[in-house]
Amino acid sequence: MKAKFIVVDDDYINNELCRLNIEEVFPEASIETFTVPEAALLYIKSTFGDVNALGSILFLDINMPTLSGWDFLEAYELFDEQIKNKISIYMLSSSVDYRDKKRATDNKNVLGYFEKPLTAENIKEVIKKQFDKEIE
Amino acid sequence: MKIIVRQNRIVFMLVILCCIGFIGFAVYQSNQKLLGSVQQVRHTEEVISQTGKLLFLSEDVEIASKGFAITNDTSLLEPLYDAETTGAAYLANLRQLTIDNPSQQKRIDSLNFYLQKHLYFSGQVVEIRKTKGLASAITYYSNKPGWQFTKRIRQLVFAIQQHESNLLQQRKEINQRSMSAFNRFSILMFILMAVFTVLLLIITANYLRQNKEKEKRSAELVIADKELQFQSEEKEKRAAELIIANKELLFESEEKEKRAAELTIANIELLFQNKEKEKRAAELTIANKELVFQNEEKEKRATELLIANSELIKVDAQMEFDRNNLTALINNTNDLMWSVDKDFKLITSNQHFNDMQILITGKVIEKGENALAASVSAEQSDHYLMSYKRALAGESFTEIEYTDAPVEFWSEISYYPIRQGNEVIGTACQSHNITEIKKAEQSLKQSEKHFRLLIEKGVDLISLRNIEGGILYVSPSIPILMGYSMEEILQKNIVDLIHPDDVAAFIKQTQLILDIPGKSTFRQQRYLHKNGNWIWVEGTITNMLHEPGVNALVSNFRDISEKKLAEEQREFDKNNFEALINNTSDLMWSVGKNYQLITFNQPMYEAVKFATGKELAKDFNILSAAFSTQQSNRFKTFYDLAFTGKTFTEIEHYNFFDDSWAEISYHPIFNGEEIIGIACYSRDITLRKLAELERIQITNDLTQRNKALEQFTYIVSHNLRSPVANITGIAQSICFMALDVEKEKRLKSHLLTSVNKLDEVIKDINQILQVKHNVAEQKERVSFSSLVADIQLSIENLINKEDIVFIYNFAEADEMQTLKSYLYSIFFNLISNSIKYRQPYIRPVIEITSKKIDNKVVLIFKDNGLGIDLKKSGGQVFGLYKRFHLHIGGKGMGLYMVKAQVEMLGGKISIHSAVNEGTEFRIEFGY
Repeated sequence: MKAKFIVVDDDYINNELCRLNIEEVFPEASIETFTVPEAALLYIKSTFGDVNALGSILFLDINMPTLSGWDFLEAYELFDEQIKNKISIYMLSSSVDYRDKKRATDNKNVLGYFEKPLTAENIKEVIKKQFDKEIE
Repeated sequence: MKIIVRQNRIVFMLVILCCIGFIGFAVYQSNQKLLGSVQQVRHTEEVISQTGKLLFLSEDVEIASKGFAITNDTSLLEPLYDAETTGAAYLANLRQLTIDNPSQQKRIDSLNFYLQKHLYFSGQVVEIRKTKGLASAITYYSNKPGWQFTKRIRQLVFAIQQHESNLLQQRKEINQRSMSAFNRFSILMFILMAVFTVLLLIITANYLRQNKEKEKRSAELVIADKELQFQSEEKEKRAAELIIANKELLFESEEKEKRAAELTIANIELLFQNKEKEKRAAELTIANKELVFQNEEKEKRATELLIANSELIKVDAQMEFDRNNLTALINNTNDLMWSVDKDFKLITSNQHFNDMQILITGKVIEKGENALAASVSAEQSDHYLMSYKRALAGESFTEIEYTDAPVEFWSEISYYPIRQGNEVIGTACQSHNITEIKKAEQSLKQSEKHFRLLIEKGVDLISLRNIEGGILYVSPSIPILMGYSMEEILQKNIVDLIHPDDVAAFIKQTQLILDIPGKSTFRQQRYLHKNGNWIWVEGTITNMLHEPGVNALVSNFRDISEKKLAEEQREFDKNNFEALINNTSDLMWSVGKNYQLITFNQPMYEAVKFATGKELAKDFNILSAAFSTQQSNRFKTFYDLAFTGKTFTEIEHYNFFDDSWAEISYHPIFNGEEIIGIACYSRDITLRKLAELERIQITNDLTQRNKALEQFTYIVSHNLRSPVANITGIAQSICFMALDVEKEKRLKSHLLTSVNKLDEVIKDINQILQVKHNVAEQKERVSFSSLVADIQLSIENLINKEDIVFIYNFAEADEMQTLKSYLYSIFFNLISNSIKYRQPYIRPVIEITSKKIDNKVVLIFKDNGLGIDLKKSGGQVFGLYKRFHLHIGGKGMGLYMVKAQVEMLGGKISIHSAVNEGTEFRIEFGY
């Protein structure tokens, strides 16, 4: 299966762990990691505007210095529907605050919330959802 | 150093360029001069050649004229014909050439003269030859010295030529000099150009050589890189050792987690403290409830008072009834009643008095007439006058009056002073007919035994005493009442038994009756009981010193302690009630159906006067005592509501001076079924209200602090969780994945990083908690300037490296009493932030100023750094782990700590900032 992943987190160690875990489940997967959220936004805008671009799963951290996960979602909200349809966003945070979880589930662009560290099970769950979504 | 050399070279080159420019100009100048002098030379040579030609012309003319004269060959005359025009042309040319030389011009003028003369002369010769022949021509020629003209012209030409030759000589010299100057400058210029070129070549060569060096160094770097790679291989070896160390670290990290757990406990304690505060708030609430309860109690009392009030109203009605009753009584009695004023004029009298006057004197004394006219004799008139005077002096007393005309008549007349305030304005008198009693008494006196029997059976206190006050006899009731034995009583002097306050009046009154046999006086006084108590008695003392068998002053008293007590109680109750009503700070008033004031207490009067300037009185329309029509309308609705029978309480807010609140209760006053008025009771509840507001404030503060604590807990847990999650992820990967050596190595290095980060967070928390709890340090006077100096010294290298400019002005305030370590940390954090977030390519300037404003020390830190977009992140500037610049390292601790420390020192901090312009922090400390 050809799968595409984007990880946005200022913590490079987490990014690397995500990459390791994704590769463990999908050795073929294409994985892009960003420590600067602004760069990730630019990348999404330029890459997914293409009609033929493959869909992608995005893991988004909340607590980042220049642009928080919530700020990121605000900026993302302004993107074309065509782009947004191609991206499935999951929050990935070390926060254990219920308010963050609530806020994530309340956002229509967010499909799920995972506590760090990301596990193989999480990835499988996400892929299953993605698969269901594509069948729809 | 290199820069200086290079700079010097450039300066040197610039100097040379300037020199070259200057010399170039000089060369140009000398060249111009040279060209000028060459022109002059050519000019001079031209003059010489022109004059030469002129000379030849003159000679040609001479030869032509001479030749024609001799040969008569006309062909020889051609030069002569041309000479005039060519000569003029030559002369004009010469004049032009020497236009700037006046001496030459003169010479040319003479030349012209002689040339004309010569031409004329030659023309004459030719003419004579033609007409008169050879001989005449020769004669003319010889006589007229034609040759002299040629000679003159020659001389003149020579003179001109000589002058021009001199000029030529001079000009050639100048030319020579200019030429040599030009040569010298050219040589100099050549040399400078050469030097300039050489310098340029040197610089270029240097530049090329440095380039080569850089290449060389980069090559070395490549080698170093390779070495590093080699070293990193070595490190891989060591990493294996680190794995073991790692396990130890993991163990340590467990320890740290333990510490984290302890911190959590500390946190819980904080929460517990928080709860304690909540408990205190709850206690406050209870206290508040108690206040409310007390309030209710007061209301209860007020209600009781109101009941008393209604009773008073009832009493009023009773009094009205009584008064009518009294009038009836006064007129229906058998006693005479009248009153006189200070001038003994009759004020009022009852029917009986009038009847009696008609009986005695045959006429009625009208009101305003002298009351003394009522006497039957001058003696009696004097006696009345004395009695009135006594009464007007303030004494109440009773006298027995005896008249034998027109009939034997005994009367007991009581005198009561009429008071208006402290002043006695008249006397009220009542005369009771005791003739029958007196007669009975007289008959009783007939028998000593009978008398004794009479008095000893009675409960009246009867005593006999002599004029000195010695007690001769007391009725048996006296020892019983006063607690003494009969023997004890008989040994006493009467004065010893009377209350000291009553003694003077007793003696005075006794004196008054001593001289008049049978005279009585009425007294109320106190007797001493053996147990020390005082017994109130009232009765008469009668002078019976003259009465045979008695020979004593006879006192007939009754125990009136009960009556007196009841009186006192009544007085006390009344005073008490009034005191209660007037001495409270609460306002009380009652209002009738037309909103007219019925009663009000003193505080109400004063409050209304203070607030509106209006003085309350009975029947005053209470609605006009309001501050505004709005309030007046509100009060009206309340009174109206109370008139429907409701009892209720309203809170009224006044804000005309300060904020104040009053709680006003409205109670209908019933008279049977009918509501006849409203009793109102207003209590100032400002303090309670303020306490309530304060409680709300405290609750808000507590909630705020609770939220802050929650936030802190959240941040801490998040920041602890973050490295822990990484460690978990790494550990899982290492344990469960088949990793190649490279990846495993990387993961282990990440593990170390994460563990260190965890440790750092724990240390941070420790530091923060220390700030929040440790204010035990002693305060001292701290000087700002020396604090800044200390910090500058500690980061001297950084300051020198970044070339930071410090401007500070602590002239207004250089000291404050504070915790030095905190203030140091605040200064250090702000200064190091300014350095850390400086703008690239702009010299960092840090400005620190202190000011003294209204007993406050204000510190201002200003820099020209990157600034923060406050619109975007203003609310988070002082937040823990908040960062605003990605490219520069930082934890987001500095400003959090600064704020915490400023607040611990009782100060406030605020920020102004604009992106790429700089940041200004302002700290205010209360003095």
